[in-house]
Amino acid sequence: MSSAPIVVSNLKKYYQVHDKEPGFSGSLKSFVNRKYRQVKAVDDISFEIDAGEIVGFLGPNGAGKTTTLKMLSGLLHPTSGTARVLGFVPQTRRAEYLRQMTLVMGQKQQLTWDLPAIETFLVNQAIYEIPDDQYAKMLDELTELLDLAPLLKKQVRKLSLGERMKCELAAALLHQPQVLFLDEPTIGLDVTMQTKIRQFVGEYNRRYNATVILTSHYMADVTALCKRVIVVDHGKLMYDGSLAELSARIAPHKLVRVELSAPMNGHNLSAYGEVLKAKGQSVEFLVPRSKTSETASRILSELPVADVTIEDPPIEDVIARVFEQAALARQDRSENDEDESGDA
Amino acid sequence: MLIWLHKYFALTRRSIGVQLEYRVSMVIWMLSATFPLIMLAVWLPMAKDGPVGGFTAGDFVAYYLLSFYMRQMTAVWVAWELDYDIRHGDMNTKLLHPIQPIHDYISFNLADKIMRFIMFTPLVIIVALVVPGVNYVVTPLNITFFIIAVIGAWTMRYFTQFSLGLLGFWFSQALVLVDVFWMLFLLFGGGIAPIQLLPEPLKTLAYILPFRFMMSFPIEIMMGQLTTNEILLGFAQVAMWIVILLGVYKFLWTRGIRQFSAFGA
Repeated sequence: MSSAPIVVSNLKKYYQVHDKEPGFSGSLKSFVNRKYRQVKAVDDISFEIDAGEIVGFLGPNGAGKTTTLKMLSGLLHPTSGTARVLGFVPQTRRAEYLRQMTLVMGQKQQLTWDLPAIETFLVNQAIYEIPDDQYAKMLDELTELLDLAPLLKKQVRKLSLGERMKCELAAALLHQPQVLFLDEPTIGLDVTMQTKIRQFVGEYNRRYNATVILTSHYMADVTALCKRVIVVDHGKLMYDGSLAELSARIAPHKLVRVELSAPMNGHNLSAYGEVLKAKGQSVEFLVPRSKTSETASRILSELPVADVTIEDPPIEDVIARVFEQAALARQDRSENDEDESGDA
Repeated sequence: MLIWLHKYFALTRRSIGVQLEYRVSMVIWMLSATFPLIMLAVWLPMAKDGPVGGFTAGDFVAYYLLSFYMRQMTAVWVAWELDYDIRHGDMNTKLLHPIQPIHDYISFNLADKIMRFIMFTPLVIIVALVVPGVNYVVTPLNITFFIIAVIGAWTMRYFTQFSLGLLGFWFSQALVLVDVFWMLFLLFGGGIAPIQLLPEPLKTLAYILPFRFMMSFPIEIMMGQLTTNEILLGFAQVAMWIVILLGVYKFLWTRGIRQFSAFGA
């Protein structure tokens, strides 16, 4: 058996849901003759994550990200397949397991709403059985890393969203978990706060060699923290590997931006690559990766160039393409397969 | 053991903090439990011309004063908390902690009981001393019996309501059952009238059903209506009911959580 802290094999979570048509007759129909359909929230996913890795878990809404994290943290029983985290079967919810992991959901909170965050910290100290000296040390570190000092004694309901998230993270990490499941920890936060939270997660990972799975809709979170990403869509695993490779595979092009020193007249710009934008003296080309350097030197020698930059296309576009391709593949499949997949 | 005391201390301290945030609504809520006083107003005129079923006017005051106290000291609302947490997914947050969620719920009730004890115990003692005709058996042994019986009554009410609340894992309208329970509790527990005064066959039923131990039994002890043997027999029955109720709770909790985690929230 693998010694990786997170081992997931053939994990599935199917739900039975019933649809209801609108209105009273719909209610009546649903009462008399309820039609169930199966939703495959997570459909045969396998992966392993090594100690100290930060893995980005990507996918559109309803892809099965949260369902997977809930199975890994023991809140949901898998329909079939297995997950092992730190050697535990999560859904048995053993206290020894719960004391070594944490799940932070950007949309749910554990802090006691009416009291200052420090009160929740003290409760957590007791129920996680954290010794006094370790608690004091950890609280100091978290206070320093997250600038908590001015927040700890303020009522949670009087904190801003970002301040609250910082306290949530601290409450979730006081017991020094080895495994972190972060479900959109930066949701709704402004850019500065997003950056802070991101830096903090990176720092925590380095200091404690913690294993992290992170979901986010902000690609900046992912590009800053995760060398490896797992892409899921409609419960299926679409990609598991490095972020760079994903870009290379899905978007086999580079973006070449050229600032010209003189307006272009009569030049056939499309000879260098697909022209994305040509406005005044600035032009953007999409150039096949393999021809990037050759094309760049041609541009430099043949065009009046003031400045040139070569970049990977934005990761948002890359991910969007993954999902487009997945949707196309699904359409092909669904012609001979009537199974429904949907939200989770 | 010590670690558990520490955990309960931390949880309850937090819960008292939350309660104090809502002190005004807390006091109003506590004082709104006037039902026993209304029932007293119904009985008093009838007892003016002589005892009713052995109850003098003073006995009625003594009875409903303790009835009021019992309502305060065994107040339970955990079914509503469970209903909310199950439907809004807050149960998930509690399930992530390395402690069974019931301890978290109990800590809130414990905090409430501490506040009510401080508020109402002196009040009841003063009324008992001031109003003529109110006679309780105030010996150390009898007060010990009373305290044990109150703790038993609380435990029975708490676990009954907790189990009813857990039905929320399966039915979205489990709270209706709590209302049904409440009616039975008032009738057979002695909330409407002392169960000695109930007409047959309700009276016989009241002595068979568990509701008596949730309210009437401790009052009977304080009013000196029971022999020591009857009290000890009562304790044995309370212990039996608690064992049964704990079993039901464990059964429903294990299956409820499995159900919850199979379908998600």
